[in-house]
Amino acid sequence: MSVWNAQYRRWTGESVSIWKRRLSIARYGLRLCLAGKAIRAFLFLSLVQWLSLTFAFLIFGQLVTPGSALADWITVKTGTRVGAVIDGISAWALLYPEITVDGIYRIGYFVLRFTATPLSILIVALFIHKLIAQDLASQAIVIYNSKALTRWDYLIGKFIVVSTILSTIWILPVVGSWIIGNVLAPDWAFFYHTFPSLLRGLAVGIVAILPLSLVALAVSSMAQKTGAAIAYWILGWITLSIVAGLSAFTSPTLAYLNPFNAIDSLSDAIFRMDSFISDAQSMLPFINQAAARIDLRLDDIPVTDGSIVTPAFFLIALSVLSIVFVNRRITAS
Amino acid sequence: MADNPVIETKGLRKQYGSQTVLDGIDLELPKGSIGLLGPNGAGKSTFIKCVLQLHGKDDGTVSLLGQDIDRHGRETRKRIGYAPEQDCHIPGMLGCEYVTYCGELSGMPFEAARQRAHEMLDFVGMGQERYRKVDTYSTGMKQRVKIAQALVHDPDLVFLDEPTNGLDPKGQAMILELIERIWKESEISVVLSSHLLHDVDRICERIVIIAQGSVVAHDTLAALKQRRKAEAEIVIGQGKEALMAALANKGWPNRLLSNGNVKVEHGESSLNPLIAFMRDNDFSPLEIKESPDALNELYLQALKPGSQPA
Repeated sequence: MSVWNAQYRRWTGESVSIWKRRLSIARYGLRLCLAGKAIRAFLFLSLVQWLSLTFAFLIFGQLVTPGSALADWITVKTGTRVGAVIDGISAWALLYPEITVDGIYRIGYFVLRFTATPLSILIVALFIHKLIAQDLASQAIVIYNSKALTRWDYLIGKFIVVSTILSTIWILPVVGSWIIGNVLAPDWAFFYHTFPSLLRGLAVGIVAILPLSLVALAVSSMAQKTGAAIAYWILGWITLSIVAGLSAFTSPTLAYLNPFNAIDSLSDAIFRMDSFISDAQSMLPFINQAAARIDLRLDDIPVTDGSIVTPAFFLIALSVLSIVFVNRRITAS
Repeated sequence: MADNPVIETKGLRKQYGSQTVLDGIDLELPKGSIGLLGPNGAGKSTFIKCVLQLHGKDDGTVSLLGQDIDRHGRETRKRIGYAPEQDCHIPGMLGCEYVTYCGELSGMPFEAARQRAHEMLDFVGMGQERYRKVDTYSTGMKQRVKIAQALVHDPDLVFLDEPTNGLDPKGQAMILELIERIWKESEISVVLSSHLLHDVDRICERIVIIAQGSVVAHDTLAALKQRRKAEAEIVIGQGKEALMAALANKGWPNRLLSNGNVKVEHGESSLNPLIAFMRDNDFSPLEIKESPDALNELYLQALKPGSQPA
């Protein structure tokens, strides 16, 4: 054999830091998880979220620009009445940017969760078996444990894999649309006015990604066979929804057994849409009449009425349980 | 011991439920090629897994390369390679990717790991197969790629758990030759775990025999081979009774074996006095068999079910 006589040479290079080793796990994990047409197709849908928001913000920015070509074109096509409405919105944006400009972004990011939630469940279902279940089934976990890594290093690497993919659903549309929408806006002051909405969108994204990533790791480590992980994930959500729905009849708090209910509740508390509508009613002409029928709960203070603390407690408890469980599972047997 | 031990265990104990798998193992092993010998289920793999922290130990202390693994586990494992008994590849990865990845996990930069992976695949004799998925490899190729991933980060100590399992004789010979080269060419200490006496006898300088979770014997191969009972088995056609009487007169206890041969306890360090005695007394044996050495004997003893450490 021509290669059989190759000599052994010692290696004298410098070792890299532990974070680079964790990132290596994440890099290979991402490559493995993203290998497949189905997951790419669904990830494209998350890009559609981003593009939709960006398009909406772009159109809004152009409409509120006095004398913009788009506004003129719409006026010509639809008549002077629509043109007057556009002029009105433009005037609002000039006079009340903290309501009008920020409001559009706030609404956009608020509705994002309605598409992000089902996308998260679907996309994670497409790669969950490749996270930890595959390493357990193939005994590759023995190799990880025998290298210069601890269980935590392995888990951090895998956590980065899930959270990165979930970020394309929850964070990328927010940050991407905010940057492009504002760069193409007529006034760079939009960056300033829409910044609170960006923070709200990011907060909800982080609130969703952290527990979902940890639950995904726990479910993946539950399965000894790769196919079982997908079944556990899907059946788990269905079961949890039913259990949480039924439990909520006895105590509304138990609805938070389904983490998506908890995320929704925290999202409501973070976006404070009631407060936004109330401000719009008080500041914007015409809106007060249009929104008069909306039942606002302005007396509620989220921090004290349990709509933040209780769902946050459930999400933290779920995350801690997931960490404890997965940490016990990833031993070499 | 002149050199610092590469492996040092004190009172290493491991239990699975009520079953004691490792029963307070005390070992101090210097650099070199070390054979961990014992029958299946003796506790060899558990010993390796405990010292590598793949399994938690119930009691005792372990130091590898002079460092306590409880306090410096991750840093110590950076200098250690391990090729497990079972398949442990990552599905979907090419052979060279897998070894590169293992190098990165051990702390090598990507470029260095990739270059080194190819060097190690050359070293273990893998050609173009390295560009195939590991899932498609034969048993021999899988064993080689496991050795390559254990060596990719240039460890100072490497554990090879039953590396010849499932191989045909030619494959076994190639893997053993490879393991022999690891120590001889690079001075990387090798711990070879095997239930085959032939494997460790061929390439190891030091032998540890484990049975029933305890160390039955631990010495250099040369010492174990020298250590033997001063006995011999004489194969003779005619004059058995006369021979036995003459041996008894000489003061050497003897007995007739069921196979018709005469077993004699000559008490000498070699066979020469016995041969001289037979020549002087005109006995013409067909063959004189030396008693089996301690390695064989101890291993045979360890193989017996329910055997206790000597």
